[in-house]
Amino acid sequence: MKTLIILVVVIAIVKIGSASADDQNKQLATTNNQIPALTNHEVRLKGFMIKTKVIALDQSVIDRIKVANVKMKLIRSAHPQDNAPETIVDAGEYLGQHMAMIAAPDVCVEYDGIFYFSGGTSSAQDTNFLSGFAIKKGETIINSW
Amino acid sequence: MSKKVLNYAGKRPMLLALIMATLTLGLLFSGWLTPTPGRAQQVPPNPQPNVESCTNCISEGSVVFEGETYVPVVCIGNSVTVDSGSFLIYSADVRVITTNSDGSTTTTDYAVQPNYSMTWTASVGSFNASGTGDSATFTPTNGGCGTVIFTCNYTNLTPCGDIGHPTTTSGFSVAQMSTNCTSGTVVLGNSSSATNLWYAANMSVTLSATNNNISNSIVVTTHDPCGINPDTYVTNLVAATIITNWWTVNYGSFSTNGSGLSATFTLTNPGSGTVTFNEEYTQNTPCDTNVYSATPLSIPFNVISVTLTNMGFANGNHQISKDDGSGTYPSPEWQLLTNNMTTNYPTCYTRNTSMTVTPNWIIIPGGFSGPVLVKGISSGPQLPVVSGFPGSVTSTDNFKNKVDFLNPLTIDWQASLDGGTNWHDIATTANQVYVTLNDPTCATLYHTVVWLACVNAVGQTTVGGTADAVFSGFTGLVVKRVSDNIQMTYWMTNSMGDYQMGATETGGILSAADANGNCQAWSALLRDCFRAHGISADRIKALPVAASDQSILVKDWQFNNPPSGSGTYPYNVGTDAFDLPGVPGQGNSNPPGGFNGHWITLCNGSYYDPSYGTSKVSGANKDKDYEDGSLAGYGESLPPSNGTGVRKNDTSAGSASELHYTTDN
Repeated sequence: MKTLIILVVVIAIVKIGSASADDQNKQLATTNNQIPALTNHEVRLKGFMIKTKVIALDQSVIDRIKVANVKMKLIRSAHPQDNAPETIVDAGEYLGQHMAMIAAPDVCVEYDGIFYFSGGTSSAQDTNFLSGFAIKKGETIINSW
Repeated sequence: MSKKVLNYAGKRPMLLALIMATLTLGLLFSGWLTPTPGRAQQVPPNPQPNVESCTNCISEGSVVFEGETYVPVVCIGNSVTVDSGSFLIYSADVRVITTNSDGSTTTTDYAVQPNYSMTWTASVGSFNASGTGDSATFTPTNGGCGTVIFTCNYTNLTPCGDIGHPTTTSGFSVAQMSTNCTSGTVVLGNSSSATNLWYAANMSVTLSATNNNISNSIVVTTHDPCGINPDTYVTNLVAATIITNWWTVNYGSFSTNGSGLSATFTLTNPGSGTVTFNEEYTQNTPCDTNVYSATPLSIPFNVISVTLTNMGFANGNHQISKDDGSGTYPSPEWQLLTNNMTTNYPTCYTRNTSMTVTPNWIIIPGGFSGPVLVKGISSGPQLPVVSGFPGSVTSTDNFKNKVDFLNPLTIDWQASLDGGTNWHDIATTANQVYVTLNDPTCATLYHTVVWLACVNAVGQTTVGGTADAVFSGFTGLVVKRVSDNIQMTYWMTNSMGDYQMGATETGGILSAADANGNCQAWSALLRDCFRAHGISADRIKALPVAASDQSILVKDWQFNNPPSGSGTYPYNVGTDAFDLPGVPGQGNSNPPGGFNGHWITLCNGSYYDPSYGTSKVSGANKDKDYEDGSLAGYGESLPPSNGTGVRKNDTSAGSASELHYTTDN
């Protein structure tokens, strides 16, 4: 009975995630047969990034981040006078204040002390970390891939 | 009565004739020779008939030499004339006493000149000669101090009767000549026009020698045995006879030879060598006739080749960075590669400053150091003529006192081995040289940055003029990179039709494969172009002031009234608000219509928007003016997608600026 309850909870979480995610998550599931866990019900970004989803970290995300790291390059140098973001919310706000964008990143995640934002570099939606921004916690440098 | 006769015959005959003629005429006119009564005539008077007469010699006549002091000097074999000198003839005086018929007597005196004749005998050494007359002419065959004895034989006529044989002695000198030979030498001299020769392929070289002092020294001494005249010396130079001459050339591993004193040969490579000239000669009589060898003459020569291997710019130039971010262009900026290919990197100077270049040379032969003059004929600041191959040359004047772009600055390097008469080309360097208004202040002076900064601002001398001129290069919306001539774009779409943000900094858009960038990149690029001139400029971030404004709507948008919604954002995108093609951007005829904010460039009190190339905005109200000129409205979300609410930009008079402008470099 206890096992059944846990299973029901998991299914419920998956359904919630599936129901609250839009097309990009469908695309992600189709492409990778894996749906990232969503945590935006707990953390919500501000401003025009209000729709940017904060996802849970799992192995598939880590794998994509590792790929992204290979392509990572600096696009904004350190600005010591700026307030360095310590949270992913601050990072989102910092990103929105210092990057000219036409769309908000679609998803974001914190991994290994770095905030990763997928999308936002084009008008196309991207939840697979094919491109995006990265800001190291406590630093003002913005990287992109 | 006696009469003197000066006889200078044989000594000064013309002078004597002149004297005698003068005396004769004088005497005639004076009447001295006119028979005078009571004065005896030379012809005895005829006796009167029946008259007795008696003739008596009162005094005897005579001839007296006065002597000769002049001693002629002749050489053996030459005729000499020796004179007796002057002599005096004294006439005899005769008196005739006639007893007339009446017993009276008449006394008549007259003079009778004695008869005389001259003989002479000459002798010098074993030579003897004789003759008559008071002038002796003969040809002595012996040298020495000789004498001529003149003897006068005179006889007085009856009634006088004395005879005499006075003598006088004159001298003459037969000079003794001797000849000595001081051996001469033949010295070879270098008559080559030049021994430092400029190399040319398969060049023909001619070097030559000449004979100097090719004479014997023969001294002829003339000695006067009588000691009256000093010895005289006459030096005669008698040319030696050249028997043969030849030359040899040694030039590295190359050698050749030939005859004569002019060596012509062909060389195929630069270097140094020596040509040696040799000569044999004989002297001539009275010197010996042995065969002598002139001291060989070795003439070192250089066949010079100069290669300019590289040339850098120094002292005040600003190094330019490559667009691809791999660092600055290396110095030396000009380098000679193989196959006569060159690298020609750009450099940058500030206007009205001098230029220093640092050429490097390969000189063959290696030890050659001149004399040589080197000059670089510059299409920019002028370079001085220098002696030797310089390692550094600073111009004698400055770049023009204005923004400039020398495309390229050429320097024709030339050298002269003859003091500047003839110049030989070495190489021509060519480098792009950008001349900025002031010293660059941008962090990295990218090639495209300085190119954009200068190519459109040539001739500018002011900050404002330069800034506007630089920006004029952006207003056409076609801005290309120097490195690959690719046009840079603004939020260009990819193959899927999706807008791409691209680079966000100057270095990024200059190096990105797609040459695409957002407004941050473009405003940074223009900022750096201004800073390339040392003009103060900043990238400005403009974000909505209102917390609810999540996007700005860039012109053009169409708003249909009345709006379907209400509140702050009454227009609904896709329903009564539509993004029109609107204002084109760099390389993009239809950039996105909405952003979270916009980045522009502030310079000299004006906003410049390089992303769209629109007119600059200036003045105290430039914030609002910029917004009204560029923005159509604001949205409640980003992107302002269908279904989201937007509002129009309030352009009413006195409306406030709705963007917050901050520096964001």
